[in-house]
Amino acid sequence: MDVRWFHEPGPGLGFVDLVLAFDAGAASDPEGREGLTLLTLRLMRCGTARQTRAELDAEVERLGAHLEVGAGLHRASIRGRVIRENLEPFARLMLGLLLEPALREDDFAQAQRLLLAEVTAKRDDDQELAGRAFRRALFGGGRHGRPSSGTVASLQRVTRDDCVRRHRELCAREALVAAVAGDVAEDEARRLLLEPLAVLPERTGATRFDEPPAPPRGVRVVLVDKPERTQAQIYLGHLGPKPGREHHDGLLVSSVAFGGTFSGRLMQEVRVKRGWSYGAYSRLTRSRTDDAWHVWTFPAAKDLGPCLQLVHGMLRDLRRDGVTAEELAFAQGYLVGSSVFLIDTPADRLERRIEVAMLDFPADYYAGLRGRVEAVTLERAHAATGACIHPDDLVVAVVCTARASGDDVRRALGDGAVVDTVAFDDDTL
Amino acid sequence: MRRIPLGRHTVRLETLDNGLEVLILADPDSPVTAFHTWFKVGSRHERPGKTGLAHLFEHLMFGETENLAHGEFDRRIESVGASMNAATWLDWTYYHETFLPEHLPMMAELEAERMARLTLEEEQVRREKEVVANERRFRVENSVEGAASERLWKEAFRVHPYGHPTIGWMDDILGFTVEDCRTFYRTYYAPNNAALVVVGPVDEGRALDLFRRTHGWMKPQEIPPPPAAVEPPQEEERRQRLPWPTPTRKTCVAWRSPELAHPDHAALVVLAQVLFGGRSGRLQRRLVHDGEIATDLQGGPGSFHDPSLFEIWADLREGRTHEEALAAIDAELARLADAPPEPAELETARNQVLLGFRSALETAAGRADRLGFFHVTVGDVGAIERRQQALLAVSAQDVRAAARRYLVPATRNVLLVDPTEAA
Repeated sequence: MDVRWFHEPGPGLGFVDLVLAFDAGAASDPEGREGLTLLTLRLMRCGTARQTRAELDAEVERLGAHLEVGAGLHRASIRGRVIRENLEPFARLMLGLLLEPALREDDFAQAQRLLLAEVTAKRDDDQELAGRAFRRALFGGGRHGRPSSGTVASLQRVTRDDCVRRHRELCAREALVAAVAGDVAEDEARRLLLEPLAVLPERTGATRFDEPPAPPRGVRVVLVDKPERTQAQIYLGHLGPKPGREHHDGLLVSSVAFGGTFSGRLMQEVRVKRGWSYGAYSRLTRSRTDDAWHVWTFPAAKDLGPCLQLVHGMLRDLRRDGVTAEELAFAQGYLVGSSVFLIDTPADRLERRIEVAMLDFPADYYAGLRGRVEAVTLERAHAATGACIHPDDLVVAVVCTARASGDDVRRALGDGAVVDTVAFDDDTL
Repeated sequence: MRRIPLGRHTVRLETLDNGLEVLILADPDSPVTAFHTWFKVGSRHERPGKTGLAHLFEHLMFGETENLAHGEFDRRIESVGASMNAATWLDWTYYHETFLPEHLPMMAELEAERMARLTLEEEQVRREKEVVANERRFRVENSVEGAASERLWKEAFRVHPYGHPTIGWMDDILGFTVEDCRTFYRTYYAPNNAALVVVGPVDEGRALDLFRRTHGWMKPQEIPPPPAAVEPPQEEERRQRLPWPTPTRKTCVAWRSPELAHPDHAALVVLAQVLFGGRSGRLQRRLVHDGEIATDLQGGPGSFHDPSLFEIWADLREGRTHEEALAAIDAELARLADAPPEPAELETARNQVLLGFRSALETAAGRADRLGFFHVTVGDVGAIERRQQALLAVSAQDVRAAARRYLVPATRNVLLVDPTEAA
């Protein structure tokens, strides 16, 4: 298998986007060494044998470019944007990070310390904390619920040798996508970014992508205890079907009707009628495997109990009655009209093609989205919400001051709810 | 009518008889159309005791009108998949939609409807005040960045309205009456205080005809000037401490800086690139990557109608102190004041300016945003291209002179966030 290649032209833009993406992410980090893939990418970003980190940083910026590395659950990437005039030297520089990174010990130590500090700093963000607690509980602490940056403990276990091995695993044509969008013709883009990758071995060992384990039964609550909160952050939900799986399209449309827009049922009930929260949304995550369907809202601490009770009741209604014909038509119109934003720019179009290729979406997932959305009938929408909305098997994560708000949460979700409390600076989050 | 170049496009500027300004950028290649309505009113126009009114009013604009029931405005726009939102800031308020090109007539009619025929009732205002109070809890009371920024600006501007937050003080938000809102609407939401911006595959003549029909009938009004408040020069350091449930210290420093239209503003932007740009900026290296004092560092001058602040925000690593961060900042500023930046640093800044300028014009929405912002803040869309040229022309001596003139240690504002014991 060869490197997968995509090109999206954008003449006249004056800049070019370049992507090297890998079939590897946090889900494939070894147990106990979560964060390895991201740390490996960060180390690769520290230069080549001929160029120190500081020299590389200066050169990237002198060329009029941005260069970032990142890791998600199922894929990782090196991405850059550069002014058209400096495309060639920038492409060479970017390739060097993959083909001949220095992976120096002192750079490793420095990158590790920075990532550790960033993990700690993320505890300032209550929404981030709620999202992390939700995914961790939803996936039972397993690989699908891991933050890509790992934890303090897991990052401290990672060694430079781990990163060297991980880099070797990434260097395989079958695991790689090369993609270019913007102000460059395809021939030139191929010459600059794709052809030099021919030196890579075809494969170094396939990454496994397991489906997540069955989610916990019953209502499981994680209270993330943080002092002095006047507002709670709530994530609540369960698993939803991945693209291509039965009920995916029905749930996608129903979820938009329920909480995907300002006009949706959730926003109307929580914000417009009651003024309890600035926002209230539901979302089905598109991923390689089944992933989260969740509601996010953030009421004042005084309204936390009633808000949770309301949303929980709305989930029961949604499972029992589904969406109305009017809501369905609205959501279909919204999804069809807004699908243009998925392919608005060359960079957007490129990203969709990369997603389909790397996340194993059906080949026509985006191209056929409009037709599939329009084909969802009320009956299919009801079947989807009946099969996929589980108000009695729910994971709820709430960032709040537990002493002040914990009882409100327990009362709102009933005696059957199992409630665990963790401190906001707990490293397992 | 004026025609103004913008990158590879041309912008047509027309003023209707009622004073409404219309900016049209016809781009036949754009798959979407962006439509913005900008009003020349922001929190700069508010008075003590009534802070947050411009922002609350932005929320109310999504409510009931004479011809649209509550929720109908959003429903119609979202039913065709348009993205929409609004924002209020120190100098302006704007409303924006992006959508498939065939929906422009509907969007223009809907925007005209709420610009002229909004109905404001007691219950609606009461509910929206509660929503805004929750937004304040989200952005300020439960956010260390929001809380620190609010305190920093309040201390730096004791007279000028930039010292009060755009979202408003909580007591002011909860105290607004329906009459406050009606008066604000009558006063500021007039055609001669607004500008329409459209970018997309439009025909200029047909778009103008459309706006004359939807907006041309509105009556102009007398617009009161903003409060005439001139902040006296700051001649001493002002220092505050903020205890917060956070795992790490944050060091914030700010100096008065000139308005966006001031000739020195471009030099301060280049100076910010030299200090904070990417990973190679001097302070990025000293504080984050080499010195390992901070996790994150941001900084630069505000881009506002009136003089504002040049801010530095450093998120420190565990165990690192404010004194270490301040010493590093002082040292790099002294170095810049002593000797101008190197040619390579200026080349970097220029190329980053080009990348930023081209990236900002990537989408129809991005172009509409730049047009509206410069038109309302500087009063001239031509300033976009001129500003790019000014940024590219900044010399090493300009940067040094700006550092000496504005970033003077004795006149800075300092806010130090310290973790509370409970955290």
